[in-house]
Amino acid sequence: MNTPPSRYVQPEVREARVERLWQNVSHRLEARPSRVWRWVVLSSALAAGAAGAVLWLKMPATLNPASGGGEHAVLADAKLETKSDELSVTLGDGSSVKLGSQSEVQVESGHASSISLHLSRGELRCDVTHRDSRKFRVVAGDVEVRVVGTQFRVKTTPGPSPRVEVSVARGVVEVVSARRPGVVARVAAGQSWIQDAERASEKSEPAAPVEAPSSEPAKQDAPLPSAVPVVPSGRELFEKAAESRRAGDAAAAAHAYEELLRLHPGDGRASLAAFELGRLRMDRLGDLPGAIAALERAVAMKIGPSFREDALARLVSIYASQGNLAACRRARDRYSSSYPAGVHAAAVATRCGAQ
Amino acid sequence: MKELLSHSPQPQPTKSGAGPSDAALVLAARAGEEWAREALFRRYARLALGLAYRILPRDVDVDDLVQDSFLYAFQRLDRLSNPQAFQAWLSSIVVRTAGKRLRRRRLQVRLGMLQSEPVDLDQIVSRSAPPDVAAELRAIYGLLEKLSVEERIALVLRRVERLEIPEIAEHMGLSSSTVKRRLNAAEARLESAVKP
Repeated sequence: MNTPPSRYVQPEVREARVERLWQNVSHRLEARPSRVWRWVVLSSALAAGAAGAVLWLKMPATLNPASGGGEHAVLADAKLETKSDELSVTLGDGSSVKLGSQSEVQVESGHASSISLHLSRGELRCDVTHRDSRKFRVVAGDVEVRVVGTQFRVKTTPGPSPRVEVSVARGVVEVVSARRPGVVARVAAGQSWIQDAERASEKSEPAAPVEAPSSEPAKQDAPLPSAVPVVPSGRELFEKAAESRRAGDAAAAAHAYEELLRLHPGDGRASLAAFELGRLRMDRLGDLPGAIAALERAVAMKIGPSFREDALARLVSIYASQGNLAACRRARDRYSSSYPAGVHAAAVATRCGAQ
Repeated sequence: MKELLSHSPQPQPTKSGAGPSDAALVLAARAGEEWAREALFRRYARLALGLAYRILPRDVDVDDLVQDSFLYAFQRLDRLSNPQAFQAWLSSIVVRTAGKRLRRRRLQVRLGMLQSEPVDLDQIVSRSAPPDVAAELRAIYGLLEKLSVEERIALVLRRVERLEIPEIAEHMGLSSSTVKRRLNAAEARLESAVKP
């Protein structure tokens, strides 16, 4: 056979994904500063928006990268304010921020190791280049957004119940609100976080999840959900379950899998989570009805063949131990028809009483 | 892409309908033509995504890797001595960028900044794969995390991409003899892994 194996290892590539990638590449190409102004660059949008924008820059002498020192200032003590136009600024490390109209942002810290922006009103869109050695944060009202390396938007809405919205197009950010001390919400691509003043003041625990994350990043102009979605991602829950298992805490691991299945039923890890949940309930927690539910769900979710075979064999075993011979035989027949030469075939054939 | 290429001053599609050659696009892109960069991106985005995915089979890493690779390529087009060889050049950039990412990720794992995430073999290998091919691919991808970065990439390029040693060497920026050593080590691990 001349077909290269690479043909059978292919990502799912839809046109929307290619389009999104091109938009990011194109944007980053545009945002790339020239060598002369590598450290401080205002993009061409600044000139275009000059008529409606007011820009205050109080740049220290350390701006010139040739001046030495381990850290170079990027935009220290700068105040950016827009009226009718938008304003784009490209930072020295390639990150870019775009200030919406009628907005104001103060650069509280602008060094290569720490960039801190304070959005006092309006809207700010950021495309942040990931750098391990640099902290990037945006403060809006009593909300702090810690950036891991991403493209996101922060929007403040004034009024009697002021609130802050954070939506992430790419990567992950951490959001901390002073109204919920100690609660850190991780917001991943395609997710939004909205501060609801009234509800936030009522509850201190993490907000209830509202929607599963989309595989595609949220469109920046798309309307935001109207609730308070602080949703741990499927990946985070899967990692949390693995961590709990390593620590020997089966109950916590099972809870993480349950949360993953509840919050992200369409996640690529969901079928494996259902299978692992079934194993934990069966082997560690002694919850056989729960194990049946989880394993049946894993089978229904079209889990991978090797896991499916194991799940079916386990179902036979559980039903047999419960004395539910009718269900046991049905499970046994399902196994035998799918895996007549399977690794559990001999053991399964002896269960459930009469053949 | 045809629509994209239909506006002046872009070159007209060739008689074969394949559009401008890579060389023409590279030359236009070097001259600062945005449409040419976009045409190159759309022509090779899927190729880059596929190659990146086979080396780093995690979607979240793949998109970033492909973006970085194209960005690197577009910013250094003037270094491409043979404009018609854009595809091979881009592939080598993807491979080397993937290597850097893998090294960085492993360092982060060692430092406890990142958790190693198991790869779901059933999701990686297509269900349409013949059983023998699927078994080989499962063995390879089940082993990758245990290999060094160079062994891992060399094994994927050889056993999955079916590249020849000189091609692998060029993609990885290594000598052929080094690639052979890496492959030998990886193949030995693979053989012991699939032994019953």
